[in-house]
Amino acid sequence: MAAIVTDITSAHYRRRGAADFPASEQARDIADDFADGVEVMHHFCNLAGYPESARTFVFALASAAHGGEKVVVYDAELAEKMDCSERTVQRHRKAYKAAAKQSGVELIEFAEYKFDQKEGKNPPTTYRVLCGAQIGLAVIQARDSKHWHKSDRAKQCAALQWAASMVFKDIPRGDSMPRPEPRPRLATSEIHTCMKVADTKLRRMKKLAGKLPERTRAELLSDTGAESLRKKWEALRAEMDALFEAADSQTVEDGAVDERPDILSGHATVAVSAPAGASGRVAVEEEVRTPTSPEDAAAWNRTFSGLRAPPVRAVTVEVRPPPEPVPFQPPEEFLVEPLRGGGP
Amino acid sequence: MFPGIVIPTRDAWGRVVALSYRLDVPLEKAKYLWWSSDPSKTFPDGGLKYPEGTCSGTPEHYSNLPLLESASDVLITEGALKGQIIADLAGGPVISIAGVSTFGHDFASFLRERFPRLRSAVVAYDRDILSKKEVAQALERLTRQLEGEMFRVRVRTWPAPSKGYDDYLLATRRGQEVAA
Repeated sequence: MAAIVTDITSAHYRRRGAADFPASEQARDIADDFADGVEVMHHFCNLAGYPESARTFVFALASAAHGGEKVVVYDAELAEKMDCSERTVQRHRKAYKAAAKQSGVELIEFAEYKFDQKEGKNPPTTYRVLCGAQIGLAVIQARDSKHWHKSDRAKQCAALQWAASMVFKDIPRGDSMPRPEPRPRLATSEIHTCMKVADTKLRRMKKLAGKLPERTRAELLSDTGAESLRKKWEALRAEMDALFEAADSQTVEDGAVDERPDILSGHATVAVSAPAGASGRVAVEEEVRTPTSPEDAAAWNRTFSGLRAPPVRAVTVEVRPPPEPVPFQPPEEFLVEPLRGGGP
Repeated sequence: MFPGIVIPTRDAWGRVVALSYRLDVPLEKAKYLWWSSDPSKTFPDGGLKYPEGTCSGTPEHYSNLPLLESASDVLITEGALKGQIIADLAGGPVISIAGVSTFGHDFASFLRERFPRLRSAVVAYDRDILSKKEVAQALERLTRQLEGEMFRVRVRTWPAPSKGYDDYLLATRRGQEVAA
């Protein structure tokens, strides 16, 4: 004997069952859930010690990533969502990375990929909110706890804070993959850039000084500030000479440069990159990925094992057959002698 | 005394801890009563009804307890009589809560502690979960609480018109008996 029944996961049941109640009721429930979820998220950020900028990034992604699911977005899309520039998004992400590294707690896992040479831009970043399940658990625990108050929001917040601290340790460890650092520039290229910058600044200063009235310029040049600047230049020049391994810090006048261009032009080929290693590149590779322990993996599987099951499944329940009828055996005292002779 | 049947309620150790009473004829919509001598009950004149009494409470009923000790799955339903019928028909461990919302805030944590081998729970409330908001909310609270203790939770449904899971199992057995 078999009875066919259907088992539905609680999450699927919630999605299906929600349609049966009025929209106003649903809206109120959603608003309650939202308020409590945001409260718990704030407590998580507090416990992780995230600053404001990192927190902004976490909240923006929490809405984009929808619980524990992954979301793939460009910085431009996030910037549009946050109504800010891409540069601001990058700044927030940098703050988040720093805070997560410092605290050792990642609320958002991310994966950045290598620069796409063909497309000429970075691929979109993949994000996943790691604390989605814990937010739900904290809200449930708070609402079911004895600390929960029906209407007093301050007491509700205290209960949420307590619940958040209880489940915070269960947030699974992230396995973020930051974008591989670009190949460091050659030290010689960096020096060329610095020289260009210095040249540009000097030209600008000359141009500005040329626009000044004669008297102001004279005052400026006779000022103690100008004198100290001149001394700085001289010191800098000595350092540059040492950098270029010049034999001595000889003064080179314009004319001399014109006559002996090799004095400067030959210096760039000096092995200035030697301190950075044989390749001339600065090693800045840093291992950020951390291995996941077996305990963390087990906790992760335990938490999310239910989510991997199909939402609806048919179950066959074996129904037991009816028991064999047992003949009734009355106790002896109930047995009576049959009447004989048809009675009195 | 009203005519009816007495249903013993067994706790998680198999002890009878309460007696409920199913009335043959409902009394002002009440189909079940508890035998209780609540010491806080008073007469109209203010005198205590049961000064030495005790309140029955609304404990959960555990059916097929020996199976529950080693089971990984349990079925949770509403009403001790219904739970016992389901346990007899389907054979698995069944926990019956007295009313859809009469489980304590520590129900799931108690299960986790008392039956550490339990991994998942199937909730089989009556089919009115989709028509009565209060029942749906009670089910939501129960599933959330169970999920909070890391149980995998599923909600069981069955074909209409059987209202309760026990009705469906009985109807299945009767139908197959008739077919045989």
